[in-house]
Amino acid sequence: MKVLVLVKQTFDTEAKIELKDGKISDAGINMIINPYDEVAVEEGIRLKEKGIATEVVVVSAGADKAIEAIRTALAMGADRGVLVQQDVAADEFARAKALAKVISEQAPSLVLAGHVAADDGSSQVPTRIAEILGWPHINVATTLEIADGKATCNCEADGGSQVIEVALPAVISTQVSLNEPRYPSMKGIMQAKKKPVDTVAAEAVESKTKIVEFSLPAAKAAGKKVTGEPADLAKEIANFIKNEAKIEIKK
Amino acid sequence: MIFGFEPLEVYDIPMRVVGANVPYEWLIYILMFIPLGIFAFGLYKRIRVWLLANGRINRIDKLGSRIVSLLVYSLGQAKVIKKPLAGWMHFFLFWGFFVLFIAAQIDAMHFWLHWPKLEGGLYIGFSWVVDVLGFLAMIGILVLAFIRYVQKPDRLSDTKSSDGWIIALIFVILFSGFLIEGLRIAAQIKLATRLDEIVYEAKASPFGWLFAYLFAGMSLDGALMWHRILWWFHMALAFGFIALVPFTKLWHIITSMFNYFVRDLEASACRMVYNIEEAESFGVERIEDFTWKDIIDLDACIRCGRCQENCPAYLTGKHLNPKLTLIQAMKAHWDAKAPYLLAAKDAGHAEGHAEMAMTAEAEEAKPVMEQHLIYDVVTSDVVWDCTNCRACMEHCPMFIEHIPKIIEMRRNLVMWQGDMPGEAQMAFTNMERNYNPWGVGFSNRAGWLQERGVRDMVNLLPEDGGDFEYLLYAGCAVAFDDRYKRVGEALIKVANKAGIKFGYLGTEEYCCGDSARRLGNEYLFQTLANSNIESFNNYGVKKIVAVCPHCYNCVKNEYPQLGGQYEVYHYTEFLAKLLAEGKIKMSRSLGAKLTYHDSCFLGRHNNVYDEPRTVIKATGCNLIEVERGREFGFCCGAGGGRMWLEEHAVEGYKRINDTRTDQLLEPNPEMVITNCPFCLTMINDGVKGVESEAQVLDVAELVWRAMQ
Amino acid sequence: MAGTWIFVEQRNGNIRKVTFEMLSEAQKWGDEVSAVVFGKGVAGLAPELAKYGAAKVYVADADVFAQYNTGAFVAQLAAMIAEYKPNAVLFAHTFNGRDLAARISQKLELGLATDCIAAEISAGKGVFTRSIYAGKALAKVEVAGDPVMATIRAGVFEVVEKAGAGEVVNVAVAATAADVYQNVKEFIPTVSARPELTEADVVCSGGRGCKGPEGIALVEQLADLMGGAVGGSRAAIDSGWLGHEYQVGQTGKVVNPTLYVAAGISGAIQHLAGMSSSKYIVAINTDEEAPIFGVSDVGAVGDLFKVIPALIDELKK
Repeated sequence: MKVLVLVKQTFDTEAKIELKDGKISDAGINMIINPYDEVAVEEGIRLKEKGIATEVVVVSAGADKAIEAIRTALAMGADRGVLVQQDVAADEFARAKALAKVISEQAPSLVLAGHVAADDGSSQVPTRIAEILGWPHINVATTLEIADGKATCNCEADGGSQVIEVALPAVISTQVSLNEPRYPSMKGIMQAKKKPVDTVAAEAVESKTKIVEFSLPAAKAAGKKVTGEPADLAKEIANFIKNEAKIEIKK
Repeated sequence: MIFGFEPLEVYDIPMRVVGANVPYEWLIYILMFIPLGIFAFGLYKRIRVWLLANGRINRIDKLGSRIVSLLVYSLGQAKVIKKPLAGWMHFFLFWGFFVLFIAAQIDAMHFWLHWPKLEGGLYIGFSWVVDVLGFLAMIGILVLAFIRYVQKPDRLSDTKSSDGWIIALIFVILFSGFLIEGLRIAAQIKLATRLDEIVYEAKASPFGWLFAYLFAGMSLDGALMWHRILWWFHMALAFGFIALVPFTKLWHIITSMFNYFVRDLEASACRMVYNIEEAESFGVERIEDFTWKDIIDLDACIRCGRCQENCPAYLTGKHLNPKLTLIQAMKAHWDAKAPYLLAAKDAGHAEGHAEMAMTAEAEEAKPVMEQHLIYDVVTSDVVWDCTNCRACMEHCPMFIEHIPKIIEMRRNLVMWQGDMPGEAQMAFTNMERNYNPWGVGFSNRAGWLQERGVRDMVNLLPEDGGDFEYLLYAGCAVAFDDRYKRVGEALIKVANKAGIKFGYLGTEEYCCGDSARRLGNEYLFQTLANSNIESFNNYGVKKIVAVCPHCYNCVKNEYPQLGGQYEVYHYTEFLAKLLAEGKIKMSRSLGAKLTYHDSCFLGRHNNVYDEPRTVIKATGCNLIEVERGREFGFCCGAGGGRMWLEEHAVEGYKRINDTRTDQLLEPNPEMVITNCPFCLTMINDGVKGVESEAQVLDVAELVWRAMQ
Repeated sequence: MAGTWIFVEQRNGNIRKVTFEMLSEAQKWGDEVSAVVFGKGVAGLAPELAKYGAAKVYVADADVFAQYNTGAFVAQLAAMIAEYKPNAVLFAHTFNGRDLAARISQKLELGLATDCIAAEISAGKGVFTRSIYAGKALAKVEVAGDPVMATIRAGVFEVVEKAGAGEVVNVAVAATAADVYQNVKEFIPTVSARPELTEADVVCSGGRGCKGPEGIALVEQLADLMGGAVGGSRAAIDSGWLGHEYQVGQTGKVVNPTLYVAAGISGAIQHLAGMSSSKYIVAINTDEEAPIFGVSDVGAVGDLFKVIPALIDELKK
């Protein structure tokens, strides 16, 4: 069984976001594999280690430097990579189209991807790909089992969790609790240098959406320290939880 | 004379004839080749085994220093005597045996060359020294036996029957020597016409003289006969002793000399991995991949247990016991494996077991050859337990290098097996991405200056430009740990009052890499270190003041391996210097009762014990020394990268930091003073845990208080 | 044209508040606002939806909709969009909402803005504000399409009551069992089980200041009130008040919820490293100097044994 894992190269999650010429600046930013995708890579490698998968292919759409993300995945233990060269401004529709084309060429039995990207947080691409390919999908999986041509996952759902089974081929998006991704060893890094990475140009597809403006949120008000009677403190906190953090209270 | 023997006589002048009264005495000069041959054979075998080690290390540079080391630590027993009772007893034993051995050589020389002539005063002096030292050696072995079998300290918990046999052998050799001497003197007394003729022996052999009383009632013939019998008995045992050296714990006599000569003479640093980009494997996975020094270490371990009784991991119930679960476990594995490696080598297989797989011998070798050094022999728990506190290496009388072995195995686990605790993985990722182990965004590394109100007191590079004499290498804790930011602030304020404006790299300062290196991630260490060295060189840095002892050790002792040579001070050394130069003045005497915790990386790793104490005392505080202080300082539990790993308390024991906290709070101090951010965190945690009122402060904070 | 559709989030007939939020906000754009509800026996929900301005309530009632499944919902919604041609369809950014929205928008080859915190729809074009980089930046996204589609984050819009006609439109059921490709074998509702620490939206943690299991019990009550997870600092774990899996910090779990409540935690760097990226932080501690106040948005200097019970009462109001 061939497993294909989608990875996105994103900013380090601690990176300071700054605007330059109206766009998000990537100067001095360390790039990483989207942490949710890292879990997907780990799961693919574990499937191979369990003897379920025979090959783990890593595919990333993005700028040329996204090859670093592929190399990291290869160092973790994936077998080969495909870089789909695409403008990073392409929207979810265009990205899903480009990736789906590569997936149909690679013809895997299972596609794994993080359920959301740490940068745009849109959580659309895996589901869109499933639709393009006409495959079933499961989102936000916290466990994964493969048997008899079927995938079974525990996944998060509104108001609880559910156990879903789908026939392969399928697309499964992963939650971070699925596993703990490994740290690539030097052995892995050395081997990764010899693993093949193909580069293909993305299918030319128009984006359906357009970002018209980037901005930075108003600076968070400096934290305030309150003293006084417990009842007053409670009022202050309750007000903050309801109106600022906007948390739903279960009565 | 060849066929007969020289009779025992009473001589005109103080002297004695070696071998008098012993028929065929000359035979020993032939028989001695038997034990010498066995010894040489054993030596040859052990050295061949040592040469199986694949690792490379240069330990034959600096010949002068090495010869001095050999003399100081063997003849001077300088390390051995650090443990007073057992140490001095060993000192006697060593010198007794050594002198007796020399005396035997002089006797032999006289037999062949009839020189030197030991007569008169020279004889008395010579004999006295041998007699007295021989007796002290006998006392020594008895006390050592007492310690082992009556006191039974935990450090000797692995006593074997062979330990007892060796003790017995040594005692019997010494005791029989005195019996022979006593019999000879008793016979001479009987031969003498007047006691005056022989009374010089009371001076020359005071203890032999006492032994002679034992035989006062014996007939002359009886004494002469027993003298002959015991003489041969004594010689047989002595020869046995020589023959046994390479095959028993007596082997330490030889390995100690090797180790005193080839010990690590450099400042405390992890071993460098050169050309890491081209390396084809990392760390040590098979025991034969260690260096010959590491392999000799296994033979050198005399199982005295000084490492064990100072090891914070062992003392808190962890798997690591530097003697048993590290060195002795490796030795047993090596002794089992080496014969097969040797056979493979002799058969011309350079690679050993791969080709051996076909032979019957290989079948037998399999269990040993397939045992995994890290997982089956030492175990990864042991490898990760170590805090690199250096107590084992400090107290080892054999200069065994425990930490480098641990680190080589960690290197293999991290860089080759990819097997490490999840927390280590997180620390590495954080260091890679944000250049600090906590993973706080690096862009705000200089933010603490503003936050603590000391922004104008430093030259922040590059924006402030300007000249500076000392670069402040503040480290990650000062930059990101809210508690430790105050220490950075205090130091800058003190320096400012002394008229010193530090340079500071801000976002161009990266983690020093100490934790990465000691957790086995050499590659990450070198990446971080090279970045720092580049920044230092870029700004023409010559002198560095480090706040954290881990940074200090790393920049001072390890950056030179990568070409970064600077004059590095720990801030306590720097403050002591300012104090000595009269540049800082205390405004008040704090008068607090306090205890001081020696951090391992400032103390044992760098021998900085006095400067912090001088500075503390200058604040007018009453410094109470704790029992485990200075060289015996007990780790806080955070060294060797353990700061980033969870320590699970073992049932029946406290955590390392809590154990240390108890020791520091024992004198009931108002304050506990540290010099390291890791120690401060760990001790603070411990103090809170026992709900003590004691304040945990760093030296810099104490000084700033006294200056206000 | 059928105006703006709000896809109703309901489970067992209970409508989630975010649905009303969307209904209320959509009134501002001038177009007719209707609700779309799929389920089994859900026709009775119309009056409740009408209270927040739903002009029509499209009801697809069938066994196949008894529980959410992507295939059947997509087939049904696609058929309805083709038939009624709404200008815009908004979903809640919940697990189901985002799953459905992504798949239907692809099926119709449309754009989609997800997890929006502000919206403006006019003349067949939507402009949505999304928070990106975990809230460190904002992006305004223009979605043109027929219909305009977006998912909306819960809690960002005000709920305003406004009577709507609430006319029930029973729509033909277009989905069949053949459209179901996900076999939902089991649904495990969250009853007492709290969410996983690393995934929870709200985390309430206790530290040394909790002094014992009683203190932790208070923290748990508070967490349950907000559907949050419970965590602890090392001191709480060490004292045995919570298991090791609940440790938040450098050597435990790293969390980044919307709200983090630290009760009786002083906030040593080892703990901060595990939670300081939380969006909002509330701290309760008796020690005014505690470093946790350096990162908290609201820091209450007080005894948690008095403040938390009062807070629970206050939140319940």
